Amino acid sequence: MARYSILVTSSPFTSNGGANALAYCQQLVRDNHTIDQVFFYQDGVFHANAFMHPPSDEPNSVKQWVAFHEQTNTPLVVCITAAARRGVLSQQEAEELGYNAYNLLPPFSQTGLSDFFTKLHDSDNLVQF
Amino acid sequence: MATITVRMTTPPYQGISAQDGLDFAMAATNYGHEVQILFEGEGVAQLAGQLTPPTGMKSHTKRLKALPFFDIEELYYCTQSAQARLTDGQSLAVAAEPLSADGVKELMNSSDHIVTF
Amino acid sequence: MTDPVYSFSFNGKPVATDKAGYLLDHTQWQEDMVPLLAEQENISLTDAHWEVVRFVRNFYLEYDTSPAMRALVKAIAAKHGPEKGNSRYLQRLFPKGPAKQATKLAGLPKPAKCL
Repeated sequence: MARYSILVTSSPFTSNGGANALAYCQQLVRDNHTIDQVFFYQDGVFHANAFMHPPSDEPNSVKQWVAFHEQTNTPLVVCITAAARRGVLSQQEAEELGYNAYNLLPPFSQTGLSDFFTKLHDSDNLVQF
Repeated sequence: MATITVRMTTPPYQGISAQDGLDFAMAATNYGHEVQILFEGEGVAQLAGQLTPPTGMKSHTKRLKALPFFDIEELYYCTQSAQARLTDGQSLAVAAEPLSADGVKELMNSSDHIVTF
Repeated sequence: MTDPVYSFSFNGKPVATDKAGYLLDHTQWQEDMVPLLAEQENISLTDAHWEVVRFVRNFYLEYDTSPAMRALVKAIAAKHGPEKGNSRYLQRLFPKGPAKQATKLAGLPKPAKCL
């Protein structure tokens, strides 16, 4: 039984990293490991974009991660700087910056690399997708 | 406290991966981890000095020189990649230790975590 | 949907800042702005403050990187010794954190929320 931090840096549509991360996380849970955090960084933040709207016969990774959180309570954390850079904004960020729309919703939460590295001290393994 | 090997595999100024790699490395040591950096593949181009950044981008060479202040002093590069991408006898922007393919394997095996940019 | 505009007045001209008062363009900074920026931060400037502000700005110009706390301590210790190169000394001068406040006075961008 080990503790994991998962780092998602790949974009939803340019590689299968995100899908692989989700499958890996589901297996970890089945094997009774603990996932300390799934941290979305670089283009990985796009997985948290609530405005993503693929055709109904294609997978929607935002919804899949939300469902995973609902089943397992795994923290889904998004790097605030990487997200803002790419236009993924929480309600608070959007208001501060003067935008009238926002697309980062719970259960995704925003933190920074500071929190990622602080939590990493507790994890045995770090796996990047 | 963990040792993290940050693998730099992209050239500087091609998108922001190289910049992100340094941001990540510097944040890691600011929060109690140890970092060593490995320049591999196209990433060895980051070690070529005297590059002028495109307008508006930060100078990668300058940032590499700040690494010791962030307690990052173990820099390595893959000699195979360097042979293919750096000119013979080219001086490096910052001191880095050359590693053979076996040396690279050993480095990765000796670290707790590996992150690739 | 436009970016709101913030600025302060200097020599009769507006200097663009972000919402928190950090200069948007660090090349527009002049030393004479420091007292204005210090006032915003409720800091009474002493020689010790000036020394750190100038140091932080020079670090940024030399390394294209704003120094995080540990890097700042190390860099100042290297140049001015451990009496000044320690977090207690710097925290006393800049109560909200030198990484946040000294950078503002030095005309540098706001540190990433990430860190």
